[in-house]
Amino acid sequence: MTEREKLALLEDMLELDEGDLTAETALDDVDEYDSMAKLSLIVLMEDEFGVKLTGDMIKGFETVGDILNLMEK
Amino acid sequence: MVFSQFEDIRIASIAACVPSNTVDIAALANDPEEDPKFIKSFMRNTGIRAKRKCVGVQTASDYAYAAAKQIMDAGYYKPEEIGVLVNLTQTPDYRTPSSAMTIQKRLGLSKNCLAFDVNLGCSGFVYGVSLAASLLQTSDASKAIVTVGDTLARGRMNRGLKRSFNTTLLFGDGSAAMLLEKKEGTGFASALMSDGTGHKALSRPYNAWRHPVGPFSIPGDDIAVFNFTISEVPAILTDFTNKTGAAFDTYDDLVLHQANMMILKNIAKRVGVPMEKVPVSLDRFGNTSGASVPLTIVDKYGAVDEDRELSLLTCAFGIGLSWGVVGFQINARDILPMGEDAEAYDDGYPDDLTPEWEE
Repeated sequence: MTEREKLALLEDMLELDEGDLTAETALDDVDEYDSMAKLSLIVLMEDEFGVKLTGDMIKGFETVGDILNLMEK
Repeated sequence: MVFSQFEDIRIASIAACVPSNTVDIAALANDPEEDPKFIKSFMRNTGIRAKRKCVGVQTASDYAYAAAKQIMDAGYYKPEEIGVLVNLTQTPDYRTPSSAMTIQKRLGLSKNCLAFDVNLGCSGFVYGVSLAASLLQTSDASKAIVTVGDTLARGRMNRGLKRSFNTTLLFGDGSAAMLLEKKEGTGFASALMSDGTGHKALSRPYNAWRHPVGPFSIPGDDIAVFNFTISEVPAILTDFTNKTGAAFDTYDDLVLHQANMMILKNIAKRVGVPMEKVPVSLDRFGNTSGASVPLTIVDKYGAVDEDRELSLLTCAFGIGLSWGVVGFQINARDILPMGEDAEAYDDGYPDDLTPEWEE
């Protein structure tokens, strides 16, 4: 899976337009990345990449790139 | 898991009662104090579009009494036949005594009855049914009432929690009642679990004896709760079906606690049950806490007046953390129509006393 495809998964989850996110995008600047979105992220990461996210891992995410780094596929 | 097999005991009737007062969540998007984007995201992710909210000083026990009375009025029991009354709530009438005592009094149950509350929330149905069945199994009592419900929507909105997972937005009010009775040739099974290491994930730590003063509620750890739900709930459901030998497809419905739509879909997906077999009431009633499983059964079958044996697999989970499964049979005609509105109990206590606290 290319980085663009991984970004598209996140854009789709957050109902954003294609190209809205880059690896450098700060999550604090993404309004749609709210508490419900974090739950969606847990499901996405487990279903697509077999990664179980904990609360501490999610709290540690600063940029979109921090999430991309866990998407190993 | 603690597995129980009850012999010659059945759930004979189920009823539920909700306020007629409806909160339209979509309309809140036009409230200047709310964030329209959050409301939209909330509705999309939770699936909750409306809910019921009690008015005035109505309590969960008012609705619990109304549901239990509905079963009595339908001729399923006489007050003197009830030997066990278990009420499950996290929004009791008083710190003490149990709300079960006012329910017992209002139903006119005799003194030959044990009555008590259990402090549980969303897992209330499975715990209550299992507890009452255990008490029937080991006593000479022949009939038991279980009431379960909360009024978590009551009170003002937590404006300060805007853009976080707003629990007052999530919850709907209402209670349910089940009549259990001894009957030869019947039986059902339950499985229960709890995990005290998760006691902080969902908690109202203030205004009791460890922290006598403080806010009414605090935000929960949504992520911990979500992770607990999508891992432990599918696991106990699978373990239960393995233990009983009755596979998922032998049940008419998988009735899950109505936590939110994202959770329902994820549990169903993980245990391989199609959503068509997972009834949904949260879209109109919200997350009705401990009442949600029986309320969902009433929502689906309460208006069905036909002689039809149903096999239901139910699972409830939440604060504690605690969770469990009950698989049972019931005839559709023994599931009563949804009740609306309950009279607030006038206990005679004055409401104008000065609050005070001194250590």
